[in-house]
Amino acid sequence: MIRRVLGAALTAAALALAGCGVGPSGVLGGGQAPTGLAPGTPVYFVDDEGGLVVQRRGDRLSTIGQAMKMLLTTTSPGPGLRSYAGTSQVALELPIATSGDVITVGLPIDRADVRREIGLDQLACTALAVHQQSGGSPATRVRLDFLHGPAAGPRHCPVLPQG
Amino acid sequence: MTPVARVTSVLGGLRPRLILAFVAVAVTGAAAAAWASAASAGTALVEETQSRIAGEIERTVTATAPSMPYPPGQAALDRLRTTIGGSALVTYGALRSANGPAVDLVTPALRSATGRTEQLVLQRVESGGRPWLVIGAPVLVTDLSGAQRPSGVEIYAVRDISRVQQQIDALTANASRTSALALPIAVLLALLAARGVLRPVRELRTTARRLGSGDLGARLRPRGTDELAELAETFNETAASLERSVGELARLEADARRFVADVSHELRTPLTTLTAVAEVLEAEVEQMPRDAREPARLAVAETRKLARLVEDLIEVSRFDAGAATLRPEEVEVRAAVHDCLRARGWLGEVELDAPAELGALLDRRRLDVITANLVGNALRHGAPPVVVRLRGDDERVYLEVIDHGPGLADDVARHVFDRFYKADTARTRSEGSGLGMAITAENVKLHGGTISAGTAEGAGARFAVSLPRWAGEGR
Repeated sequence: MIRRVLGAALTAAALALAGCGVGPSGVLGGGQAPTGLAPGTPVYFVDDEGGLVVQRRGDRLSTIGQAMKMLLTTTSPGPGLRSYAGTSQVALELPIATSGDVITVGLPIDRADVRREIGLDQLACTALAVHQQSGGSPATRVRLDFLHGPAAGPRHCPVLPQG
Repeated sequence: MTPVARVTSVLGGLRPRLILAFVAVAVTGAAAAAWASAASAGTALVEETQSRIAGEIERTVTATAPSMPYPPGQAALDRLRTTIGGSALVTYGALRSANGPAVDLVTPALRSATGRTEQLVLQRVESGGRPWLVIGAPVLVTDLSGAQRPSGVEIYAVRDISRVQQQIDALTANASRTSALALPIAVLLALLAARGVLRPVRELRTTARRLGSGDLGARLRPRGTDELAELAETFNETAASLERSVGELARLEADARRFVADVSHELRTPLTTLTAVAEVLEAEVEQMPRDAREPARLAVAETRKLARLVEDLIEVSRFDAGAATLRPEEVEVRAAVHDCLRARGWLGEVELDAPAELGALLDRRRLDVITANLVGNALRHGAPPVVVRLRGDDERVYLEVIDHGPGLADDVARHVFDRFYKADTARTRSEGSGLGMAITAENVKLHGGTISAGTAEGAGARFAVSLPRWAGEGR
């Protein structure tokens, strides 16, 4: 009787020991894979029908600040496309701040420079597209701060997943 | 007993077995608990380390990738590999950027799993006696629709995790020490438990021994209501029943002996008268008519025999009642034996083989009874020559009576000192009372001596008596 109990206890101890340690293993799942590659920076413009269209610039995804600069410095986006987001010859890095699920972008333009409501969508979509493609959450919204005039948002982009 | 057998018998005892079982259970339990907790802590440690390393790589790559051109060139792959650090391998199609010797540890299984899945994968491998963690990660492209697909860029990183092994070793060593700590405590507890269990057993043994050695009043004190207390009660009941039975038997035997003693005493007085009358009758027998002479002689002989039987019965009763006492005095044994033989007229038939003088402290009357009974028995049942051999050393006196008859069979020798024992069953009446040898044995016992019967080499029956030479001393 005692011998049987002893045997069972030893077996349990041996099994417990066998479960631990850093011996060789098989292939295990290790969670989320990295992302962030993209064939160019997404920048949003408006076509003739008034819809939002993405255009790729450069050869890499780059950052939100770079994307915003690309949007604001483009005066002639191409045939059939126009921009309502205003223009600025920005030389400095734009101030980007993230708190919780809101990204705040400090724009070097006045609110009045954004000529239509869809211009705000261009700005928001460009920022959120870079954010989502570099692994950011689709639930994140963007707030646009202007040099003069009230801030816009926080808002989603109408043509991107809104998690 | 061989050493092995001694060890086996010592370890087979109740106490060592109890202690061994107790210690085995306690230590095994402690070891199992300590090792199980060490094992689960170790597993948690390994998992935590794995996910920490995987998370680091995922964050590093995700932070670097947006600044990488896609599709990447060799320079981009090199930069990504440098950012990851350590032993790493980055591939894109035919392009390959590798650093560190450990990249050989990436197994084909991990490579094929990395190519198939959209998840980060891990594998632990061992090389050079150290554990390594290999991470395989496909870099994904996230579409604007939110869908993800492999970009074709794959990253492999190899990390040394021997520190985790050391921490687990430390945990296991700690568990072993904890288990070892349980050992003295278990021994202590086992000793206490064994004492509690074994005390009643020891008492039972002591009491049983007292009972066996004749102390019929020995009892246990039952304590508690457990199985051992039940055993003690049963034991007490058995002992009480035994005491009752033995007491009853002793009482019956005492009654029987008292009856014999009383009857003998009652018979003595009329028999004395009867013996006197018989002696007168014997003196007158020649004057009787011829046909009355033979019955008269027979009556006289039987009367004398009856008187001797009663005397012997009274003597035996005295021994039974414990009333027989030893009266030691200085005796010259050779002279005493010689006197005994002469008084009964046996000097012509018996050869006395004795040293010149043999002084001793014995009861003279009882020595006479012993000698007379043994020699009388030899003359009656054995055949001449009868030899009485007397010897002595510092401690004892040896008296041997040897005849040259047929000797004693073993079963006769065993019973020859029983009361009324007759070796020849066909002879229902003997000249003796049937108590002579019993009385002889009682007298020897009273001296603290021994008597034995057997057959002598080249002779007949041999009775050997050994008496302490100074039997009276210390009384």
